[in-house]
Amino acid sequence: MLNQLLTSQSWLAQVQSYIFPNEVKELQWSVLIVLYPYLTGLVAGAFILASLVRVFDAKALRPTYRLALLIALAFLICAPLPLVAHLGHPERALEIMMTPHLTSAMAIFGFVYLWYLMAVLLLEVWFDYRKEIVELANSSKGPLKLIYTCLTLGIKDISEKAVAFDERAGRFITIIGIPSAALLHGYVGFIFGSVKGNPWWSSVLMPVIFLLSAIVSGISMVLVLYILITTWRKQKIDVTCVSAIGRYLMFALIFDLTLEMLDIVHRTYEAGEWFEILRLLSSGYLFQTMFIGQLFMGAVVPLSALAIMQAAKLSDRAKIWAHFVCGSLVLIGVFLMRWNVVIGGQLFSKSLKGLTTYRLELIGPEGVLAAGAVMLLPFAILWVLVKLLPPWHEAEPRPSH
Amino acid sequence: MAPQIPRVALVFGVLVIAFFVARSQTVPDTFGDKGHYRAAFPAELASLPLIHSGKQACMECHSDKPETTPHFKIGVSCESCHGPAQKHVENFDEFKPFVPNTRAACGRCHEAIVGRSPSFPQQNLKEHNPGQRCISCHEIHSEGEPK
Amino acid sequence: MSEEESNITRNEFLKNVGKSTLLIAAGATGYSLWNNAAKGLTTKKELLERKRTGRPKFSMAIDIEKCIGCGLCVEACSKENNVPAGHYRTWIERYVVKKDGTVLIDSPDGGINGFPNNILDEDIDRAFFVPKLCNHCEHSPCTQVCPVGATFMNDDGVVLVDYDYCIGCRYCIQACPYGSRFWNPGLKTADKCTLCYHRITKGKLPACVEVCPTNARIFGDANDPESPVSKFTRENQMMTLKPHLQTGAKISYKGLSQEVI
Repeated sequence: MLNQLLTSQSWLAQVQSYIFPNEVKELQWSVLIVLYPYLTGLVAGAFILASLVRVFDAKALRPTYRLALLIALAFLICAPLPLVAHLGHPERALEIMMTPHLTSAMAIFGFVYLWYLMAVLLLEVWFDYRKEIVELANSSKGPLKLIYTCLTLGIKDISEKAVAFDERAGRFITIIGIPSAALLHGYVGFIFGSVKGNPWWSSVLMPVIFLLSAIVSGISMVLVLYILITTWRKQKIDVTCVSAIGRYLMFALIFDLTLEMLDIVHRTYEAGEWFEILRLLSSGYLFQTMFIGQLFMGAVVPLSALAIMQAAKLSDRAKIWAHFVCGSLVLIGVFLMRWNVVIGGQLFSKSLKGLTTYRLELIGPEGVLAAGAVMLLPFAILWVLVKLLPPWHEAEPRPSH
Repeated sequence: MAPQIPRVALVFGVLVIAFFVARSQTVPDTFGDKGHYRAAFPAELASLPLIHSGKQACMECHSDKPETTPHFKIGVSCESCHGPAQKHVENFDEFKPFVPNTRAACGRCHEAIVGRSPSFPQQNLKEHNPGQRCISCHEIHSEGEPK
Repeated sequence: MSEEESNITRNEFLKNVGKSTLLIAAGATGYSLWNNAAKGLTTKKELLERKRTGRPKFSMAIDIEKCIGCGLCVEACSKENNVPAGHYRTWIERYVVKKDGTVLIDSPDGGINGFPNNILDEDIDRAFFVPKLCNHCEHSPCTQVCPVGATFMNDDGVVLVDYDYCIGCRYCIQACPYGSRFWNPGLKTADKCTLCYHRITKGKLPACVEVCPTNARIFGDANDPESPVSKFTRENQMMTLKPHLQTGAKISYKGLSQEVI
C-alpha cells in the first residue's frame, strides 16, 4: 500500500488548484469554534473522572473528586460562550431553544447543555455540598450569608437522615451523569461527523473520537490543576492519587490513540475521491499540528511516559513532575486535535481541488486575545467556585468508616 | 420523602414554566404555520423591488425593436446589453439605460477567448480593426451586413 | 413542639407545592407537545392539498454547450440582489482540458467581468464554461442542519434564508457541498441564491436567466409539463452536480462532463 501511495500519479498534480469563489474571502469557523469542543470536552472528561469515585468507588481519586466537579462546572458555564460570541446575531441565540429544528445536530445543543448543567452538574454539586452550604449559611456573615442561604434553597435540614439522602441522590445523579457526559461530547462530535459534504469531518468515528479525547483532556486538566493548586496552597500532594489519575489517563489514551489511528488508516485504505486533497492537507499545513503535535507529542509521548512509570521506580517528586508534564502535553495535544478538526476541515475547498488558508488574527472579536480571554474565564470562575465551595476537606485524612 | 426532592422539583418546575412563558412570547406569529419556519417570510422576500424589468416591460413602449434587432430575434434580452432598466420603466425621463458603444461591451460576448464554442461568432479584438468602435461598422438595431 | 409542628406543615405545604408544580409543568409540556403535533398534522394535510392544487416547483436547467462565459448573469445577479462584493449567488467556472490530460479550472471573481484569454490554444483539447448557483436541493443538507428553522424549502421548491431569523451560526455554509452559500457581512447572516424570489413570484424570470444572451439557462415550473424547463429536461440527457450525495438538486445540466465538480 505504501508503494502504491508513493508511486500513484497524484491527480492533484494534474489539476490546477481551484477553490469555489465563495470560499475565497474567509473561513467560516474561527479559533472560537475550536475552543467550543475543547471546553465541552474538558467538562465531560472531568465529570467522568469524578464519577469514577462515586460509581466505581475509586478511593484513590477521592482528593480530586470535588475539584473535578468544580472544574467541570466552571468549564461548562463557559462552554457556550465562544459559540454565542461567534454568532452573527448573538441576540437571536435563544431561538435555538425556542424553535429548535429537530433535524439539526446543533439545535439540540441548548437542551443537552441545559440538561447537563441543571439536571446533572448543579444538582450533583448541590447534593454533595449541601451539608457544608447549610453550615456556611449559619456561620458566615454579610452578603456571603445571603449567598449561602440562597444556595440552601431554603432547606436547612442536615440531620443524618437528610445527609444520607444527599449521598444516595448524588450517587443516582452520577449514574445518570455518565451517559449524559458521553452524550454531551459525543454529540459535539456528531455536529462535525454528520456533515456529509465535508470528507474531513464526515465519519461515524467522529463522535467516539471526540468523546475519548474529551475524557483524556478532562482527566489531564484535573491532574494538572490538582498538582498546581495543591502546590500553590503549600499542601502535600497525594502521590497515590496522582498515580491513580495517571493510570486512568493511560488507559483512556490507549483507546483514544487507537481510534484516531484507526480513522487515519481507514481513510488511507479507502482512499475515496477526497483522498488526494486530504493527503495534501495532512502532509502540508496540518503536518505539524497533527502528526507532531496531536499524535506524537500529545499522545504517543505521554502514553509512553505513563506506561514506563507503571514499571519504573521514581521518587515522589519525579513522579509528580512527570505526571504534570504528561498532563500538560495531553492538554496541548487535545487542543491541537480540536484545531485540526475544526480548522483543518475548512482548509480545503468543497471542490476537493484546492486548499484555502486561515490567518489567525491577534486582536479582533475572533483573534488570539479574544480566544485567550474565553480560555481564561473558566479558571476565574473556578477560582470563585473554589472560594465559595472549598473542595479540600476530602484532602484531609478522613476518618475511616 | 426527603425535603430536598420537592424543593428541587419546585425550582425545576419554575424554570420549565419560565421556559414555556418565554417561548410563547418570543416565537414569531407565523412560525410553524406551514413548516418549521416563519411562514410570513416568503411573502416579505417576494415584496422586494425589481431591478431588472424584463423584456416584456420594454416591449410596452419599444414594440418596434424586435422587428429590427437580430439579437432580439435569437433571444437576447434588452437588458443583456443595456443593463438593469426597471428604474427607466418607472421613470423614463429621469433614468436612461446604459448605452453600450465600446469595443469592450461587444467583446464581453464576441471576443475570442478559450472556452467559447467555435460555432459562436467571435473575433480576436487585437487583430480585428483595432482602435475602432464596433458600432461604426456593425448596426445593432437593424439587419444586414457590416458597412 | 410547636416548632416541629410548624415544620411538618411547612414540609407538607412544600410537598404540595412541589407536586402541583410538577403537574403544571407536565400539563404545559403536554399541551405544547399536543399543539406541535397538531401543527405537524396540518402540515401533512397541507402537503396533500399542495399536491392536489398543484403548487409550482421552480427549477432551472443549464445548457453547458451554450454558455459563452460572458458573465452577464453574475453581474445581473449581483445588481438585482445587491450581492456583497467578493461573494456570489451565481458564478461561472471555466474548465480547460489540455492535451496532456491536465484540467485547468478558473473563475476569476466568479466570472463577473468575463474571462481573460490567457491560455494558448494549441495545448487545448477542449474547454467549456459551467454556470453554478444554489441547487435548491429537495433534501438540502443546509436546511437539515439549520438549528432554528431560518433556512427552509418553501412549498414552491425554493430554498430560502430568513434573514430576520437567521442567528448566523454558519453551519449551513459548512454543510453545503456546492459552495453555494456565503456569509453576508452586511446582514451578518448566511445568504445564497433565491432564484430571484421577488421576480419569479411576479411572473418574471430570474435576473440571470433574463440577461443570458445565449439562453443557456432555462427556468420554469417542473410541475408543469409544458414549461420550458420541463420540455428541456424531457428532451435532453440531464445530470446534476455531485449526484452521489443524493441532495435532490433541482438545477440540472445538459452536457455535464466528468471534470466538473
